[in-house]
Amino acid sequence: MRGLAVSVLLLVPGVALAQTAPQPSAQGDVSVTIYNNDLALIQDTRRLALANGVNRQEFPDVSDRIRPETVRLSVDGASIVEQNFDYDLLSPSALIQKAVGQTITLVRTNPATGAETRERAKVLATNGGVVLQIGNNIEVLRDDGLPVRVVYDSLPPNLRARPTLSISLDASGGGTRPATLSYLTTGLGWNADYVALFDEAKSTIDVQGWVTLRNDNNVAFTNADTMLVAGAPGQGRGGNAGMAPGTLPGTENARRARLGDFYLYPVGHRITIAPNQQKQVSFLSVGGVPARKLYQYRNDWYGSSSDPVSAATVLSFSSSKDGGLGDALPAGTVRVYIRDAKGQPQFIGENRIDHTPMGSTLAIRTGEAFDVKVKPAVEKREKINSGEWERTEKFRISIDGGKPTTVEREDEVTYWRTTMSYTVTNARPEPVTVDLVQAGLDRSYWHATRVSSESIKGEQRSLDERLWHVTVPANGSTVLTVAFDTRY
Amino acid sequence: MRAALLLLLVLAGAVPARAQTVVTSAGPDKVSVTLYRDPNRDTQSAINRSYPQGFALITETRTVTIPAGPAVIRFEGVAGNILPESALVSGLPDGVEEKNLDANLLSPRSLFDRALGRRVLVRRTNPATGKGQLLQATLRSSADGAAVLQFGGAYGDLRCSGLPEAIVYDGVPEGLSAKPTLSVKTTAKAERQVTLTLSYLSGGFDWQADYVIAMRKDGQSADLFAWITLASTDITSFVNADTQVVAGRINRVANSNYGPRNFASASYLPLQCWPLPEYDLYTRERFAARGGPPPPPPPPAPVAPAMDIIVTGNRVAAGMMAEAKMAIAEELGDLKLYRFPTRVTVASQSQKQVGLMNKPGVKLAPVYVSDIVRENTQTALLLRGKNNAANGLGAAMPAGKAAVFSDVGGQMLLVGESAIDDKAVDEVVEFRMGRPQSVSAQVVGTRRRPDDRTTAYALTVTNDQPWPVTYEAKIHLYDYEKMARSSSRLGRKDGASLWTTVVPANGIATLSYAVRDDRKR
Repeated sequence: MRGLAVSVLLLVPGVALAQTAPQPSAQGDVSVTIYNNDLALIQDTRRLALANGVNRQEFPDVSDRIRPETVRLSVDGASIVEQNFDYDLLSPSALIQKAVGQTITLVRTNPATGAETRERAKVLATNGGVVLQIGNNIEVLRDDGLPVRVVYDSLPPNLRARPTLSISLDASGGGTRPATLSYLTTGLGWNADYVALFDEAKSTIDVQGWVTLRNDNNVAFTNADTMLVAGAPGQGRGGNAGMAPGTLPGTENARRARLGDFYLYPVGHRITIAPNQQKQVSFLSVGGVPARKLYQYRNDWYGSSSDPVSAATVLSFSSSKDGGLGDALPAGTVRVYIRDAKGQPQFIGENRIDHTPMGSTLAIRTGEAFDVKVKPAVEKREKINSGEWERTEKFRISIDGGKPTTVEREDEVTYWRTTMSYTVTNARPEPVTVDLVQAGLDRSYWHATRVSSESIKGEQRSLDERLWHVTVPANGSTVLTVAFDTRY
Repeated sequence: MRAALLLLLVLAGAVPARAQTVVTSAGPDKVSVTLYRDPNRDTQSAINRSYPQGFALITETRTVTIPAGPAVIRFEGVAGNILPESALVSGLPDGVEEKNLDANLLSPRSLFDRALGRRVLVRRTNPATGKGQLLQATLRSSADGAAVLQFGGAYGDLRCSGLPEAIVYDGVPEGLSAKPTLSVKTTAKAERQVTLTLSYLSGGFDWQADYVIAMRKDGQSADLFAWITLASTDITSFVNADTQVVAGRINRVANSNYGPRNFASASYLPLQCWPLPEYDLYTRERFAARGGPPPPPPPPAPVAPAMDIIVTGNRVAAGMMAEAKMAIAEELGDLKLYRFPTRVTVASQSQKQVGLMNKPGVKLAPVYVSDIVRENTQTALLLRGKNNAANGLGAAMPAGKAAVFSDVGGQMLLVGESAIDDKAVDEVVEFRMGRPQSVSAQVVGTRRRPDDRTTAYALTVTNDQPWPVTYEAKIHLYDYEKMARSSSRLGRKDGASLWTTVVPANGIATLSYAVRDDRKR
């Protein structure tokens, strides 16, 4: 081994072993606009030195996930002849395929002595094995398993190390001029991440908002003017996750620039987006915003449960200018923290919100309450007669062309009455109110449901849902009983 | 060789100066770990000790000296499964400008890719003589088309010849790091030493409660002990950590776009050759036929089985549990937090147990329960007790598994295993023990005429034990069915008709009832 080290230094005395400095990027003044759906618009203003007439220009250091069909180049005094995106990559197998019909050099190494012999060979085919003509003999490359090195005299012109964008321009005069290359790329995306510290005693939250952007490309965007668009063009990704049920989206105008019907979130200063980097920049920080904790429970069907089910713990606050966060909120994840007995913030759950206009009421379901549970049960299901009658049939009868008589049939309206009980228990040392929803009231042919009795006055939120505010005393329980009548 | 290695090491350490000062925080002064149970794991399933799906909140205190002007603070020694977007840094006097997670890792692939168009050395070893030879070459292909090299005026590949060849690089490219590294950017007005708090969520943790129930001789009460069992597979050990666990179900968001990236496959450098069907080398054709690049290297071997979760009967009998220090319970919003009594080390690839509660003399009565739908019965033995102080309990009981032991001739033997969900105070706690051998229920239905609306059922319960047992039958009816009559008074439970009785020792109990079908004919 020591002998090898000596030969290292002897054989290559001139090689300078040095720290690899980064190669200068070919990018010019870059601006990056990132959308939510793994899409970004890159605008890159470079200086091109063009000669009079047709020029072929290569554009290295474009993103490796470029969508080449979206490339647009704007340059003064030149028109585009053609635009090429070459992605035939240089590799040993591509090399030998392009060498079909040409002559290469084989270097054979004698495994016993290490002696090398050279010969010329013509490549005939590369189908499942490289077929060679050596003199008058035909053989398959390395068919005997012995070491053979293939040496080529040159590289074929169309094979490239990386996919390369090249544009042919017809310039009306020589000289250097700015040219703006713009294209769409994937591998760049962003969303928002919110940190909400909830103070239960004061009923307030402190919220920090961060934009999180991620570059999965191997290309850096240095000192880029970065703009984030809260939207996904071409995709109807609108939703209302995070919005409190039964409320309307806010209608206030956030003081931010807009693009179409999307909001723009500028980063504020130029940033460098490194390859394979996830970067977070603050965009929101507000303290002491009023917030309250709710308990929600939803039963989707007239069903019983043998085990009590925990009610959801929900944090509700506003994005309004008055008494709220005072901003339009881009889609992302809200993580909620609460201080423990020692004052250290502890995580209590997270949820996703969609793009939320300013002035909206949000309700973030963070998890399930350990101590507040609901046990629904079908108490009774019975067929009842309502005392109402409805006409079900009507006939006009004429016998042998005589005077027609009308016969009507009336049936008493019958209902199926389902009596549900909801036992809400509270093991906490303070009273709680649970927003209890029974859904499934307007499903397929079950509609025309009415509530014939209820132990707590409820409110019909929609055809499908009815809501009760059930107050439960400390360390106690409350039973809500409701009778639903359906026709079938 | 040693000289060459030394040379490379020296060069690797020589990081060029950047525009801003880089401050490295090597590790925390103090750390607190709060573990959360996998919200999607049901109570019956055990912790996946190789890939735990729960998570933890890590809160670290670190001391760094920040210079005046723009600076980058790099945090080393954070959890390997860090969720970077959850990272919070507080305590910087001039705030955080940006937070970065750089995952440009030093790997065979990144070394190769960064050397494109550069001079490298290729080392060839003569297999016959063992002599090494270094040649100057220039890399002409990227990692996606590895590897084509230029040797002076000729071109060739790497290792397709069947001879030992390796690329020797002349340095580590800038910006490549050994591990994904979290850093923050700040601009301080003056140099000062600050104490920072760094907190973040991390995957690769899980915990559960493990109940050990030792039935007493009266058969109606038990000594209940519970452990907190926690597991970590993180590469980082948290030494002397303030440790907490949080009970209750937490909502988590599935990160579709921002999940942890597969660093292993992104680091892999495939070497390609020409078609060579008989030899085990990767060729482009075989690549395509297999539908993609070769699989990433296999995950690390699973941990050797650690200590069994079940605490043996002998340890129960030895009275060890009464001496265990218990975790301290506190409220955390609508969740429960249990603080470990002393600092512990949450070690990498390990499982740990700490006492959760010790409740001697809990009233826990065996009840046999059948669920009956028409002629089908399903019978189980439950241990049932109310979670209140009068019954010797009265504390929140986090979800977990239970092992039930019984004293047989002075030895505590395992009689059953069970699991419970989160149980609040005043809730009824039922440990379901599975299908009993000694009590069985049978239902037979009869109709006077085949089209009769009413069906008569006879329920017979047998008990072969020399003591009477408490028995419950829940009779479930369809929506259009109605209980017409029954030989005993029936109650209601969970939307079903309930019959409660005592089956005598070595005896039989019977119930007859009739169900009417109210559908239109």
